[in-house]
Amino acid sequence: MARRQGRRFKWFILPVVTVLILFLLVPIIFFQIFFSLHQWTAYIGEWWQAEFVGLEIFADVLGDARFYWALVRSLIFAGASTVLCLVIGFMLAYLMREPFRGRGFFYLLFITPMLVVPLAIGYNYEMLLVQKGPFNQLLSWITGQEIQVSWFAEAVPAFLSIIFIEVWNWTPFVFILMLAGLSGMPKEPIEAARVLGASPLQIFFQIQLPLLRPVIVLALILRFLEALGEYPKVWSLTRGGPGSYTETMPVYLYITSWEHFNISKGAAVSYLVLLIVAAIVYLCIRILLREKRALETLYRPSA
Amino acid sequence: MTDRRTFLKGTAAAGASLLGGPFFAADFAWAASVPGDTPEQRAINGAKALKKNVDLNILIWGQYFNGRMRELAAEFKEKTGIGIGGVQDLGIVAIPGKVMAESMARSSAFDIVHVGAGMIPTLANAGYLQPFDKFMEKGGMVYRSVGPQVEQTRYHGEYYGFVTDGNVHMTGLRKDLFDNPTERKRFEDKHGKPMKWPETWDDYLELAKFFTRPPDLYGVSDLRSRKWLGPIWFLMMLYSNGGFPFGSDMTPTLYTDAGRKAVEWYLGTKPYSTKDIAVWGTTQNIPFVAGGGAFMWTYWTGGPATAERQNSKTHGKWTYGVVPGSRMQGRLVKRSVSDPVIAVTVNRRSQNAEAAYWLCQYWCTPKHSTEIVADPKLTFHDAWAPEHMKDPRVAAKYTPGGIEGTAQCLQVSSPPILLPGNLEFTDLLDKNLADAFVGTISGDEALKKTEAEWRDVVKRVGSRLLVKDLASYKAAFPKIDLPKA
Repeated sequence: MARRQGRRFKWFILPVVTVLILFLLVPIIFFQIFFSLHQWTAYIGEWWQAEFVGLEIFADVLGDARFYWALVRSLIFAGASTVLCLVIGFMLAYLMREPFRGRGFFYLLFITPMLVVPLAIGYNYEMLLVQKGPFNQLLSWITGQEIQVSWFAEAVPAFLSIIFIEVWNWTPFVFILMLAGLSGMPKEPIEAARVLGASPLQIFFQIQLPLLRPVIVLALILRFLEALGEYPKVWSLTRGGPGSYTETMPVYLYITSWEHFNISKGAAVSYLVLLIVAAIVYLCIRILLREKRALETLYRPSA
Repeated sequence: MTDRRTFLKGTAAAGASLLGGPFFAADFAWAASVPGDTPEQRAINGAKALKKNVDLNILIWGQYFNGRMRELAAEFKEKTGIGIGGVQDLGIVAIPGKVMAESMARSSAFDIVHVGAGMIPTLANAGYLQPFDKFMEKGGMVYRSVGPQVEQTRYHGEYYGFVTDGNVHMTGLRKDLFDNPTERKRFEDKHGKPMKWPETWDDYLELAKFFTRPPDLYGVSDLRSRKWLGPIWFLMMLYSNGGFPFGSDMTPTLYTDAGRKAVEWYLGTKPYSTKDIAVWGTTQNIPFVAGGGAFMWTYWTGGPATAERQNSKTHGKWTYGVVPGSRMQGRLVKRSVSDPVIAVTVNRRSQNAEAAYWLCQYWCTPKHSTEIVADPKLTFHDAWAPEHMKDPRVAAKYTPGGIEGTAQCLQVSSPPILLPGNLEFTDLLDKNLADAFVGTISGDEALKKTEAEWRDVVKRVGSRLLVKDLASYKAAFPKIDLPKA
């Protein structure tokens, strides 16, 4: 009886599924596919009169150097900021793993950057990083040299600046995940290792880190995907400049769809990005499952 | 009807120039069928005749919908029952995307949209905008500008909006340094000629070089950043060289002698500007210049109005005049650019389109537009109409020198790329000019790349449509080489 109940279709989810299909899947799948196969510019004619062009728009995107550069910038931006978030977030979490006096205050301090509105972050850093701004003055004071870097006016400093600001904004997210991971770790293996005379470094690398690997991989995946889609800070800070040096994929997509009003090209670009992200997510899930299996094998109770 | 309308417009324009123009005008006062002695009164009577009590929704940047503009809307509500209810406050650069989304959704959410006139061809093509002409005749609207600004709100012979912000570029320079005898002697000793107002862009760069003394003073501070309308400066230079972005068949014509000289001047400001200019917008640049960071700028007139505020470090230290030009055509030609000319437009799908029109007329009559422009708290509605130039309140806000400079620049002001898809054409030019400014590509490469990208746009949008629209674009150009005093 219980088994039959478990297999019965749950009719009460039908309204939710209907809403999801009508308002999420149909617009995304149907309209996106439609627009990416039909040439439509938003101010030329009605969308249902758009000419069918097959895969021409995809070919146009794949032949556009601007698309590739935007993709490369996004991948570098997401990769670099993710790794830095992980390293710094993990370090902070490790320092905070044991209770101590004032821990609550530091916890609040560390997560505050994540609570600030992205546009506000953009505007504030714009002021902080201006050539004669406080950041350069601080660096000048520390180094004893006159530092007057134009952080947003030159290619490499501009790109490094947006990575730095992304790391500042999102390290708390990784910090929270790592702290949860560290707090939820079983204590017995660590206690046992201590009793057996293992050094703190050995305990860290051979017990704690392997146990944390699934959390680390999860943090990497989530942070990387989030960073790929970062738009408000980059737009408010540089709008893709100087020149095109910080024109990441979201910026390029926004310009294509909402300034060029080339809805078809925007749809095609979105699909290609979706495929790339899906491939990355698939790879990451494979790694995650492998980590999970490895952990289960390691800690399977002996027969 | 069309012939009568054209005749009336033509008569008005000719009459206007006899009265001390040049200015561009659409004067329907004698065509009015709504009673009233003034266009304001006719707007009120026209709205009252609808017998509606309605609050309109407007999409506008909050910086614009303030002060006198807001007060006039409240007055109109009191007199007619038609007023402003919902205000969607959105930055001027974000409004085009928002309006396009509204158009795609065939939405009637907004009755009035305050948008750059450069978007009018695009939005009119998309079927979003209500043509004004029949209401203008009915309401006997008087609509005239010093330069061709009103033409920017006209598309295929119909008006689609009324200007509220004329936005023209004017040149300002520090007269305390310009008039300084020591500086003048040094300049003369160095260049073998007296220091004078820059008549050409070559003179402009020469002066900028002379006054570049980092880190305290830079010679010039004109925007070159992505998305901050760098193309405006380039187009000023291109137009003054006799260049035009397209041929009569819509073939891009940037890589020409006129274009190459223009890009050389455009990039030539780099050594005389602060490095940050590559990413600065108006919010950074105005305080920098008002604080004494630069000797000279060519800027929207709102910039000088801010620099002249009482609490500005450079209050009273500026002199203004017409932008530089070019002798490339064998004579001196000066071209400023009015971009964005911001206009109130009406959504064709609004359920209160006529009511919305009457409010727009009420705002934009010569009398009320003067009050809006003269509002000392609002620095964003810049002067554009002949009445503005003579009003003492406007002169107090811009300074007499500033208003004189504005009037001169308005006479020779030209449009941005006034075609459907103007944002795309402008973005592609902007991106390539920005890349050239930071050194990724050369000026010539920027022009060639832009031409190639524009060819793709023309092919996609359709050259037949765009060729037809060239007439509207060209109609928005001045008919004189130099402004009259």
